[in-house]
Amino acid sequence: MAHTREIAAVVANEADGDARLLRLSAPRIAAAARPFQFVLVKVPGGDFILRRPLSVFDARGDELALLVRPVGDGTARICCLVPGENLDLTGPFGQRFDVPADALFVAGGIGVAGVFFALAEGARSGRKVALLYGARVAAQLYARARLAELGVEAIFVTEDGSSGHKGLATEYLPGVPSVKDKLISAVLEEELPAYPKTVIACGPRPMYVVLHKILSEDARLYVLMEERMACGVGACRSCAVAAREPEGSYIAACEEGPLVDASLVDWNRLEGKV
Amino acid sequence: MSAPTSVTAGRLELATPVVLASGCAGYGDEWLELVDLDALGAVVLKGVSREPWPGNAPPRLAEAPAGVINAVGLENVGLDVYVREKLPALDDLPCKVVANVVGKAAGEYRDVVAALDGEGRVDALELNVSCPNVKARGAAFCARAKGLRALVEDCRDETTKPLWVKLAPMVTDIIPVAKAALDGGADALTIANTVPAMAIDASARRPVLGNVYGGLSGPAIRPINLRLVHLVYKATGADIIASGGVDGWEAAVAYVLAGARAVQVGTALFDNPAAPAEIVAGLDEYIRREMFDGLSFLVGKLRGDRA
Repeated sequence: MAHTREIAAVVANEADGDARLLRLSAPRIAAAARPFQFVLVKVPGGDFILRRPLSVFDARGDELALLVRPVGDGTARICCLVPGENLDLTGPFGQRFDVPADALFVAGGIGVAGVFFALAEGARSGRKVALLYGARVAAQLYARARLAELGVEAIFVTEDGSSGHKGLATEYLPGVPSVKDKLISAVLEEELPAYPKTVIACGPRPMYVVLHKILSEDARLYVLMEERMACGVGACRSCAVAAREPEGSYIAACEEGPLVDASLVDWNRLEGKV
Repeated sequence: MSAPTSVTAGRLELATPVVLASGCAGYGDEWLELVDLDALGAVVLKGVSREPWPGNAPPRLAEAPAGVINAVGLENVGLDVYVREKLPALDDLPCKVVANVVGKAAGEYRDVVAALDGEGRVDALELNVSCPNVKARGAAFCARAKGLRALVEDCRDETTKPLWVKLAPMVTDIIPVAKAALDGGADALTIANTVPAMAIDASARRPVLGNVYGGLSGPAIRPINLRLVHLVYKATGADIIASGGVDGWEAAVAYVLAGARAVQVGTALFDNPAAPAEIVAGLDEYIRREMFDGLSFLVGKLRGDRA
């Protein structure tokens, strides 16, 4: 834990499909941030009380990067920032997690923002890192140039087939017997780890539900839980994720996650919400 | 001479009039790195019940104009873990600690109060009487003055520590409710809790909150709670800790002028964790500028008050 508040200066605001990559000068948070952690961003203009939780997309030296898709008024304002303007941040929040060497990353759409830092760290340290990345359309496959630059072995899938393979990312999971297109899967097995023992996913909730169902019991699944949040420090208990034990209890995504071991999640209660 | 911002509220001496509100403040140590605890008079811990409560189904949070609606549902670890793990972690906290107590029956409140009376780290108790009373078919304890008085009397019998009662804002007439709490033995009243509210997602045509209904907090409710503080102060002269949308020193001064001796800060933390320190600095400057000897001289000193 090293929570801090930092007024970050916007260094660059670059377009990436229908999202923006904000590069910020935030030396203290950038130095402390680890993969899967997040920051709480104060929406410029002062009309919103709740800060917006955003994954640390990347952190190097003094620079912190956030990949933001304008999905509401708050994120739209954050996306409009120009270089030289300031952004009020608190963080980094959430648990650290050491990525096992054989992990397969699965991302859906803007969910790549939650796993990119881990992929980048792995690639920069010379490890082989693999990503199965799905989106609705090609414009929502973000950070492709950066993934290529890092040498990440990525398989792209779009629902409309506008880029990469056609369908859902979960249909292309290598080594999974229930995957519908076994032929393609067999081809992919040469590109991705033959049978992932650890899957780390960030994307929409239905993707998690499918992953949880199709992965066999000896594979470990970790999912990045994005919830409405207020405090970031585990105090207010707003960001509740249904937990298996004790029955009826909840995990605080901000403090105990946001990357959560799927075996701790009560999927029956969670699926009702999908 | 005491510092100009020190006050006494409900027999509890506070170094500053700024108190972290129950719920937002967690178990007192979560905010250590972001909130300057030296600026605080006290922290009111998350409500504790006799047994653990799991809380409500998510989503538990909705944004509202100038406010936040929450339906956390008083998730808490229960009395045993609270005493065994949470209170001992607060030994080094530089401010007073107030335990907030919740329950579904009078006996549950009484048991928790009795157990906390022996805890040295607890400086005062605050009863949250907005909880639904199982015996009264789910009506809140504070909905009927008679029942509330009996509840407070029960708890009063179990503790010599300062006892605050946190009232709900949505009652037909808050004055008999406030008097009932005072007659039952309350040392101070916290006015008031969140305002019942809901949010609907127009696109999904669904309630935003898993619990459908929640409680509105933040600046949106400040004018409502300000009036309640004023009403109760005029009618009773009681020690009041104001709560509802305090996000700066002006709001704190307004509550003090209406009759409060201290203010609670909750929702403002989410926006600005430095709010408590900024409020104390602002109050200090205000007192010096206006040349008052201390904040307590301002309590209820509203000019041109014809109400």
